[in-house]
Amino acid sequence: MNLLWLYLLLVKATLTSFSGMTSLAIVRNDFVLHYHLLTDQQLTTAIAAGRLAPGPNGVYLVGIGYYLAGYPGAAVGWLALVTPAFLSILLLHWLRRYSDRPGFRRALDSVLMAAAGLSLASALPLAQDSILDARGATLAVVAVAAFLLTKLDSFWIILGAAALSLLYFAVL
Amino acid sequence: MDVPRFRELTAIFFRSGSFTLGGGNPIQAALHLELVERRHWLDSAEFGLIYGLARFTPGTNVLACSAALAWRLGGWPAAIAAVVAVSVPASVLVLLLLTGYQSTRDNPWVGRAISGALVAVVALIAVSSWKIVKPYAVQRRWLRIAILSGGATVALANGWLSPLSILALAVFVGFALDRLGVQ
Repeated sequence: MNLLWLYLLLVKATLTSFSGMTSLAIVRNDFVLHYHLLTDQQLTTAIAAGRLAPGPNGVYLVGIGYYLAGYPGAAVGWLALVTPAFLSILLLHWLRRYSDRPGFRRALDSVLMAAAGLSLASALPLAQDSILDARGATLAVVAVAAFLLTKLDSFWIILGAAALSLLYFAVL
Repeated sequence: MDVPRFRELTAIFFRSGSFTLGGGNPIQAALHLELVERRHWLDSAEFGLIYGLARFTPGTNVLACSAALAWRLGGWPAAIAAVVAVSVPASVLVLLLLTGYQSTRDNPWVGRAISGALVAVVALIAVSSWKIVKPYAVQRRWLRIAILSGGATVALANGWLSPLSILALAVFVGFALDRLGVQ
């Protein structure tokens, strides 16, 4: 795989997202739907690994790069993850002048609302792949409740879901 | 205010990125504690300005915030070191988890555990989407949420438009809604 091409596709996703996970829609669209280089299972596994690690949420891109091109791909994923951070230093100068303008804030609000919808749309096929029966649906409801109603870190909720799944497997 | 030393500054970013679970907000809280409250290298207002502006920049917010904070305190070398310190340990851990998973995924116990974890990830993505929309829901901007968030969900789920086209279109639709007086 051409690493420059991989970098450009991944950096397109990071440069057009406004939080760690909103790049997901573009990553899935490019690598799963368009080029068929990645499966939904691999995508979800990379996200799980990213959330089990400390640090920024967008670190799942390292896993995406690893699945696509091994360790060099992982390095490219990391580079795509950090590139916007350096550009942001330049942008921050500009934003200091414009961030209070109502038009700018409204445009950003619109992008964020749409990004939330894109993120949700990306989760739908992942849900179809991973929630296969009543047990999975119950686990999903419990996990949503845990994310919404408790202050537990996502690390513990993901680990807890894995433990509950194992427990069910052991008992039945 | 003291002048921060490069090594000490980098170590703070390394500790905050490597030992703080939960993504961007807890890391930024840890940085506030270290840089503002304990060492007084920045005042709270300046930290708040950088934190707020970082949310408007593309990419992962905590990396933009770390780069800008370190750049403010030590220039470009500090910014590069901070971003590396916050992101590399997590990246290495992701690789260890994935290589570990690849070598054990045929084990049915591991397969079961991973399938449970994946369900939680789907829940996490859904909840993350809600958390992005929640501030607007609190303001009761329901019609705007339905059109922009709902429209984006339907458009992408049905493959009508690419994600980038949807984001660009959202800006224009947002301005049109402003003109129509939709909150």
